[in-house]
Amino acid sequence: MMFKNKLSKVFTRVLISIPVLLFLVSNSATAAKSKVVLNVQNGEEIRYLDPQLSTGMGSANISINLFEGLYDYGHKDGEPVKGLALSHTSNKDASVWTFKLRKDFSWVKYDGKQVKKMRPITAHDVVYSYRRILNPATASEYAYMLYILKNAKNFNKGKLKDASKVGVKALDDHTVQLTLEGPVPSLIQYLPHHSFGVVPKEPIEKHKEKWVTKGNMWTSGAYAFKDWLLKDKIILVKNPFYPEAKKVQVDEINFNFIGTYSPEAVRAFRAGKNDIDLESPPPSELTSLVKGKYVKAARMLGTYFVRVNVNRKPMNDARIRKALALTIPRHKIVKYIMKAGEVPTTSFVPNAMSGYDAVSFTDEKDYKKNLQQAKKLLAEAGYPDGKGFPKIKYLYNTAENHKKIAVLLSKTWKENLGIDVVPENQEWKVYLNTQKAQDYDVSRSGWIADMADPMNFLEMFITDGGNNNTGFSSAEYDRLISQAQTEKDLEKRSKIMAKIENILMSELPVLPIFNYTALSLVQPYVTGFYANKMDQHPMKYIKIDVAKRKKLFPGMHK
Amino acid sequence: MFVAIIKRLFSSFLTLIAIISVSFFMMKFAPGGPFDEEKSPPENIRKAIEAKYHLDKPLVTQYFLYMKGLAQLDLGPSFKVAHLRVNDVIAEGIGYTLRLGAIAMFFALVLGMTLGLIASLYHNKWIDHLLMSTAMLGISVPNIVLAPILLLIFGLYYKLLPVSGLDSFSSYILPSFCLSLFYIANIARLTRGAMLEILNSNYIRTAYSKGLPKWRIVIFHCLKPTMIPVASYLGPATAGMLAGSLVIEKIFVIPGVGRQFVDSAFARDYTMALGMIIFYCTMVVFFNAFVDISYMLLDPRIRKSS
Repeated sequence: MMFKNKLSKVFTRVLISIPVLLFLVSNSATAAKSKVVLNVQNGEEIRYLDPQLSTGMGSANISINLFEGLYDYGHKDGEPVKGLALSHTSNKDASVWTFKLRKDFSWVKYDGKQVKKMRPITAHDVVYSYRRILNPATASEYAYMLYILKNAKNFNKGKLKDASKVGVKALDDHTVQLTLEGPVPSLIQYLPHHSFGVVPKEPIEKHKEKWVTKGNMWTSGAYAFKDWLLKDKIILVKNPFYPEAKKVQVDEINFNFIGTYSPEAVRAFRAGKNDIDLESPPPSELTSLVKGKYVKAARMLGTYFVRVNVNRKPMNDARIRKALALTIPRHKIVKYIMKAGEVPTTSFVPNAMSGYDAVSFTDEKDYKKNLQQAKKLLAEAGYPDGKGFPKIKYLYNTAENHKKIAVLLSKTWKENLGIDVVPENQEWKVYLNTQKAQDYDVSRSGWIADMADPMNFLEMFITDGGNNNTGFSSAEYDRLISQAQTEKDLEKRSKIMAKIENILMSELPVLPIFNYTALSLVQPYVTGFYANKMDQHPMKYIKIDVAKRKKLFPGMHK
Repeated sequence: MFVAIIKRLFSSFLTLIAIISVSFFMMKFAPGGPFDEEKSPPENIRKAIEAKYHLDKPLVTQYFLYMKGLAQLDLGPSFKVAHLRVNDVIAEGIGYTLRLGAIAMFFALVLGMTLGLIASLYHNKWIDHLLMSTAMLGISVPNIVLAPILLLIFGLYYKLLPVSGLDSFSSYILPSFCLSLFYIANIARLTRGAMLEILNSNYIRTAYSKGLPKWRIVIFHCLKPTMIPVASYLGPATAGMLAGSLVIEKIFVIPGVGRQFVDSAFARDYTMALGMIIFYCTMVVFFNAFVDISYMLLDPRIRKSS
């Protein structure tokens, strides 16, 4: 009897608890329903969340949502738009710039439950930030971007100890003045870059490098930092104190880490796990994704090219390098291997740079005529039909595309010039090391601009430049580079840069192949996403048609 | 017996030290470093970063610094994710890997032994042939083939199971099944073989002649000795499963230590990769020792000889 009593007691308890549980569940379900969550695939796990330390696109993709710069990248065309800055003026020769700052931006922090306002952002934050990134102790890899500021280079190199001598000054709480080493008319182009990011002093001084962790991080952008789950995702929440917060639809963003050229990422996208994939899919998946209208592509300021070791025989002869360059089947490469709308190029600086006409190494468009010229050049150099030409190696880092290109190039050079080029692959870090040590014959390479300025491409090949890696050295080239760096007149500067590229394209230590495209996958229910040349995508503009998403992927969004 | 166990554990410890030392130097000799990227940082910045991680010191000093940290169970800072320590990274990922491994191991043991028993009891009947040829298939088809096919069918086509992550109960099904399939098949074959041998042995014949019922003989007299080959397989199986989890974690996008291991080696994240090696080796060495010790418990002959 007692047993039966106990049992019935348990039974009634269970009975009572069911509706309560149901209520709780349904309640949390409705609360979750009103929250719009955006899932973004962001490639491999990032290294730094600190905008002043970050190096890759992956970090920048996230930090542009967290930190407001003086200027930001526009989401449609990648051109700078005003961020913290309200207006700017500069002196006549563009060497002193004064920025008025908006007063309605604040530092915020997510404390585990909600986003809290910390304090307003002032001109002193800008001063603190620029001094911090230039401080040698910060060891920022992108500090050199700020070398345009007066004394910045000396301070960063440790030759100057007094940070107050760096050309950044707060005239009052909301006015900041930048004094430059020389005239830089294109300064605004620099400012959206994450190295010019404005960071908060208090948490950095209190928590040191742990300031970017949960509960410590202060941010200023449209989103605040919630959490970082290793190898999984970084979660951002909407910042309600952001001046344009009312226009922002998405409440929470997951930046998921799956990978680049990753079949797993494409699978997750197709299953509706990600609304946007910022990384390129494997080329084998491209055709069907393009057909499904998921791909957004824009021409990027980046060039895929081949480095030639100009110190090695026989590539020390410019005629040979030109013969190699003329024979490259650029159209085949973009059409059959890359497949994402890449544009073949015969100049090193991408054509899409505004205000600059890139210099090509050949004016001839006809591939057959180019081939004839290549054969002639090879014969002139002493290797008619490739006779006597030593076997050389084509170095590339292990990846599907690079391999296909290597094989195609090797075949084309053999068939048309009669020379043996053996493809040789190395794992990424080994490859970087080999290239740096100049222990190669020819090597596949790529370069993507940090800002829309041709100098970003041309500076690379100054004698012993950190990224030269070809052994190319020309006194005239070095002289013109330093001339262009200080030229005030934009048109004149552009002309000098054309001269510089002309040297590069007649010497050809680099053989240009094509300009990259920025690829993203976007679901049909997402609007406000634009492919742009800087490949920058602030998520505050993204809108989701929630009903349409639910209909397409009912299992994902209950 | 106690002395034997201590001896076994001590030799495992020495093995670990040797593995750590060898991997430390091997990794340092691999070309490329953690801070090499397509755009190389300016020289002074590079030096400052390297100094921060003691990379400017001689190799031997680095080694002793590392071992000193290790003695205090500190695996050092991660080179890749700037503000993290390797200990934290392992702590975050280990849950996923162990849960997945435990479920897969459970599948492998229960299904493998059951199927093996059934096959042996129906020796040379159609059911035996069916089970053993299926097992052969399970052994021959690798995960990198099986997993995407299953994902395509159950994840994308029928939309029954999630394609990535480990955030719900249903998301465990595919990865743990893929991870365990090879071992289910192997354990089934081992169990069947051992059972057949035992069923033909003298003491079983005696048991039958005494008139014991078949179920009693199978459960009380056959099962324990069949477990010896299975138990000896558990050591390598656990090691293999841990290694297999590297692939499974990659395909199913699971944030466990396996993915971390592969990525850290490619990134030359020295401390992280070493931390992973130590973690994996400790598991493998420990499981092997565990198996040796369990022999002593399962088989009276081994117990006596030691």
